[in-house]
Amino acid sequence: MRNIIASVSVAALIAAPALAEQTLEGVAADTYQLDKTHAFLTWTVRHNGLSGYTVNFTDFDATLEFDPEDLSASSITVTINPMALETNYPDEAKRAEWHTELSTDDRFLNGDEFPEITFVSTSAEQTGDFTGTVTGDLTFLGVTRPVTMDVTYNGTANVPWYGERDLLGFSAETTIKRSDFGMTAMLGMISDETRIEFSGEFLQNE
Amino acid sequence: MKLSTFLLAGASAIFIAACSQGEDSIEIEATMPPAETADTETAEPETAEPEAPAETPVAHAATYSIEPTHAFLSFTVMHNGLSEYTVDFTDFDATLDFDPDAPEASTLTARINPLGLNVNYRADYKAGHPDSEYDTWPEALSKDSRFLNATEYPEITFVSTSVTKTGENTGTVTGNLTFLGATRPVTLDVTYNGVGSAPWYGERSLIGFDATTTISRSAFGQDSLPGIISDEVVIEFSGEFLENEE
Repeated sequence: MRNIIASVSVAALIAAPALAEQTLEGVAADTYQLDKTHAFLTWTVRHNGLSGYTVNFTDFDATLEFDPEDLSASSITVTINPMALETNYPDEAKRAEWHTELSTDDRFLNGDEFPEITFVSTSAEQTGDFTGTVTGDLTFLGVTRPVTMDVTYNGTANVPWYGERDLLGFSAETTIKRSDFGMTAMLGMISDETRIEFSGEFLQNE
Repeated sequence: MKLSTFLLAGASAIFIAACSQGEDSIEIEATMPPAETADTETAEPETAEPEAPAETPVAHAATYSIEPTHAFLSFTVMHNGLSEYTVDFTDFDATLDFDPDAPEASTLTARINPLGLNVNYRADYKAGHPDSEYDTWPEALSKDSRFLNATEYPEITFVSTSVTKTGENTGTVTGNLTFLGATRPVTLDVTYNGVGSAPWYGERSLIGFDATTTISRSAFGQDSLPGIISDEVVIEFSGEFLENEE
């Protein structure tokens, strides 16, 4: 993902040793829930081959079963509400209208007919000290296809207001073809390849 | 708007691989799927509009302005070393003097309104921050003196000073970034994505770019919440510029 991960998590460590650490030691094997105030999920398509068009999902949740001793035994379930989107549409008066169109138009996310996008992992594989892949079933527009995400484990931290509960940070990305899910509107003007990016934190359940 | 890895591995690489007929001209059509798969309304403008001359698209040497419906500018910091925290600017403009035959002579001026922010905040800000003088989290990010301090510094500007070409469709743009009252040189890594046109813009060229850079916020005097918020700030842009009307 962004180069910031490699360079910055180290910098953050040095600046604040009490906070994050990119280690799996001491991390609780447990169920974790997405910390929605520190979670970003976007999709980006290319517009006319000229620019990247990025849309934020604003309503999504995820439950992670994390086993630091056996990462391949970890699993994740994600649900995304396609009716909750934000873009950088410049006209504030028309922005909501555009978001509704993206959410509900049957050329786009068709959220009235398919009110939930889900991802359910089926396997996980560790590829490096703090990297791996998570493969799962993505269900979008009523079609279920396997998708593999490249995942980076950014580290763990504890903060006073959550006591002993561990916080884990991840970034993940993948590229899907929207046509695999039956969305073929405006091919050419809007790229088939759709980049999906996540970065966020998970909090150990109480 | 994202990621040089994606940009190079994805669409841009396709352009570069598929069409190298001109140093700075990229035929958008080369990236398109077969015409029969595109519907009429969205077909490539050069072919959709029979009255338009069928020529290889080459960007005009002209002054361009941001096309605000296709422009994204964000900054990303690491939060607690755990996650990337991305905030979108929603109000910015830029003027580009672009010469495809001499890209090094191009100049760019950008203006960003720090009061126009969008961020994915899924909580009740007032409930979580009862003592805050601000109503929303974006407002706090904009106005708090620890963050963008927009009341005191209502504008962020970037004025280019030099352009260097580094590859067929890549280059660097160095300029002066003024933020929080401090002016520092910053170099953007830029990819030129090509030129297009749209029937509703007639002969005016549309050109697309991606740009990214990493700055140190402390270089501009912002040193709040060290460790919790990274000093490094990744700035990413992807968007289109429309040739000004004569």
